[in-house]
Amino acid sequence: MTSDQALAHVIDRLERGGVGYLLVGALSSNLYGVPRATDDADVEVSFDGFDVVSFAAGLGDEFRLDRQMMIEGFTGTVRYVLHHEPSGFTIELFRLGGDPHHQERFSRRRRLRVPECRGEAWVSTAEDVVIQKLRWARRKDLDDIVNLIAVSGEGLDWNYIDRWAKVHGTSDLLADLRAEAGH
Amino acid sequence: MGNTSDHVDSGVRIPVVETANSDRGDLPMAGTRSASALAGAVWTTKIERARAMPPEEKLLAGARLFDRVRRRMLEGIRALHPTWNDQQIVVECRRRLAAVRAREERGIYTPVDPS
Repeated sequence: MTSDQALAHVIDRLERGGVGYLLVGALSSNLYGVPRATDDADVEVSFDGFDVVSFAAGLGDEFRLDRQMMIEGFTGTVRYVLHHEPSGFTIELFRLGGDPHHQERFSRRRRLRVPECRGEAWVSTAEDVVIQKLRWARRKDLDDIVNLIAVSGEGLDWNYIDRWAKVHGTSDLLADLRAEAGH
Repeated sequence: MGNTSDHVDSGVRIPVVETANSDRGDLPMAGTRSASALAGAVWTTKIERARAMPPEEKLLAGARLFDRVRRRMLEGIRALHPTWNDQQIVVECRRRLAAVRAREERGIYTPVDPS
């Protein structure tokens, strides 16, 4: 299995299992911006009735669940990492927590047709990609935001983005990146 | 098509094409207007291509691109260490990717004590 096949396999299993999930991170910024290589896929999962150990075991021998849970400092989100051994690709499963923006992001998720997954997948909206990446603000996140605004900026709900940027204290950074994108 | 002007570099007059994004001159040879214009033109092309790509293709593109990058890494490591076997090369590739990941995640994630 290649990386994209491994990812499609995981999405397919989530869909078939009726699990509430949402593709975030680089996958979603690639969707609305300029695709770049990424060695991981970030998936936010509603853990209501979801057993991550059973899920990982059901994926097959090529996958290994890292038993070490990690917690992310900005939002307190718990992360589990699935390794696809043959490709070196990782799938990170984030437990949907109480962070107000993550809650709203999850409620705004939308369906995208993905032929490789024999159906559709839940993806983040472009606005929520910008809001989240402003919070991370690593070098690659800032590049992703500029590219996303350049590619998809015309159709964005800027009132929604501005509202969350104010809450997160990222309005000045957003203004700088919009200017860089020529928007 | 942007405006054109002349740029003097080491005494040679070079025509420069200015684009809307010519300020994105962050290529290694940045510092000259010609480099800046080239960077801007490349960026504009990237944006136009990304706009033309269907969303369903873009979603999994990152993983496909990673496979290509990883193949190049494996070839590079093999060239540097011609006596290594496949397993050693894969281990080294994994180590390099883990190092990049650790740098990117520094200060963001902390291990959770299961107890």
